[in-house]
Amino acid sequence: MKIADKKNLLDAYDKYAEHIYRFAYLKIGSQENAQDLTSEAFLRCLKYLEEGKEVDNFRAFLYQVMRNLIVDFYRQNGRISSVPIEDINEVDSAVSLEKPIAQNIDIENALKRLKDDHQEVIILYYLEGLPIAEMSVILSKNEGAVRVSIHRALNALKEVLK
Amino acid sequence: MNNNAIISKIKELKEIKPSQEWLFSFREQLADQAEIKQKTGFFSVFEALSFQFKPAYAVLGVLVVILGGPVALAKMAKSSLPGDVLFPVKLAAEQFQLNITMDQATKTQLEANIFSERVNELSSVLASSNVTADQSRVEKAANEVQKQLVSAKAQLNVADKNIDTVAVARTVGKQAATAQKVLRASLSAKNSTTGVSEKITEVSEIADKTEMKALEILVNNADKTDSKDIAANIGDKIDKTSQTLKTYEEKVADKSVSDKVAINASLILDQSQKALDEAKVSLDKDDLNGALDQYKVSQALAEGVANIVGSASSTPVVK
Repeated sequence: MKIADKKNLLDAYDKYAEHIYRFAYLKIGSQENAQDLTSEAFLRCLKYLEEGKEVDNFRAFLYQVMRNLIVDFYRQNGRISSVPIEDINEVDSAVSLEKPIAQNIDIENALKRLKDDHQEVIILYYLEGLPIAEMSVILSKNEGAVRVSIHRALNALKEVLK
Repeated sequence: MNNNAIISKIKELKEIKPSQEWLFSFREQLADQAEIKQKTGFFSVFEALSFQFKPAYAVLGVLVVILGGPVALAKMAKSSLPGDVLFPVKLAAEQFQLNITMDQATKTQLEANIFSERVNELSSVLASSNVTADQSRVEKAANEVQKQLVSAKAQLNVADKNIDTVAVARTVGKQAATAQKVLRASLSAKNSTTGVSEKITEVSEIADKTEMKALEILVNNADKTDSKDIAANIGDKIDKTSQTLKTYEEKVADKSVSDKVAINASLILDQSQKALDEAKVSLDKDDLNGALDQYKVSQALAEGVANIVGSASSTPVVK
């Protein structure tokens, strides 16, 4: 593995670890498991580089890996729809004290009630601000399909929040 | 609610962040792993040694020849401990072995052996007569165990058709339990500085969480494994927590603890004990899932008491 790759990986970690973690957290609902999966995503990226392969876009690569890890996680643990008890004490560290906690939990719970692909486009587009071109790579859909998904996802979220 | 209001709510979720401690700690591990993965193969053994010594390469080259080459060097490094000059050589040799192993079952066994080796190293360092003087060595050994635990726990979360997850969970669970025993023993010996005690407590918590993760997998797959073993494991944990709760009761009853703290702690202690009693009832009924769920509730509440009691005194709290 080249030294430049190592530096790029650590740069990617500094830039994207928090975003990848947030994606995982909103999908699986547990801080601890989200941290574990984020660790695994970066370790897999390291392994990929160590095999001599190249990564053109670390962010897109990491989101793709994380999506696959979450599928495996669901397969092994089932879908989790509530906040696990070990995270109850840590709600204060994850949520700003400036906003009422109930508001943030509302939107989080509303997201969980959406279908997987609607959840993902909401998180990637509105929360993480990814361009549609990059989202189409991550989600393996053409750009037109991504735009339609975004529109439908927002409507679905609106319905849930009523 | 209009679209702008919804989008504004979505953006509030940016406040969700991982713990800073985990962020920095894993970055260190990732950087270490990347460094180690560069050092593989015969030349990497040479590089690992030169990284430690930093003398002229010509002198180092002579040293390698005298010692019989990089392979002989790796053999000499086998008994090294964290903090020793040859320890990076030992890690490089292990990584090389992992990289050239193609068979997944063999690889899994190798990883298990490496995990055991890290725990044995920690045990050796702690048993050393110079342990009080050489706290940095203890911290390095604890760090190496932590890396293994984090890696093992991450693996348990991922389903891979090439890996027998139940077998991995069984092995990882036992190793995490062994690591916890070694770590607890070192805290009980009270020969560590505060900084090292905090490190050991941190690693002990990770070991506990790794063991719990492994136990969850075994309970979810009770049909594929020996449920008596799992029941005995859960029973042990219930007994240990029961003793821990008694310790906390004594601390809470201490006169130095303020009334307000004592009342809060007592309320949570009662809830924790109640959950533990329900765990025992579930275990008696062979309801392993129910027993584990109630045990986890009890443990989470006990952690709350530990934080209250811990802030009322300066002693690191052992689980």
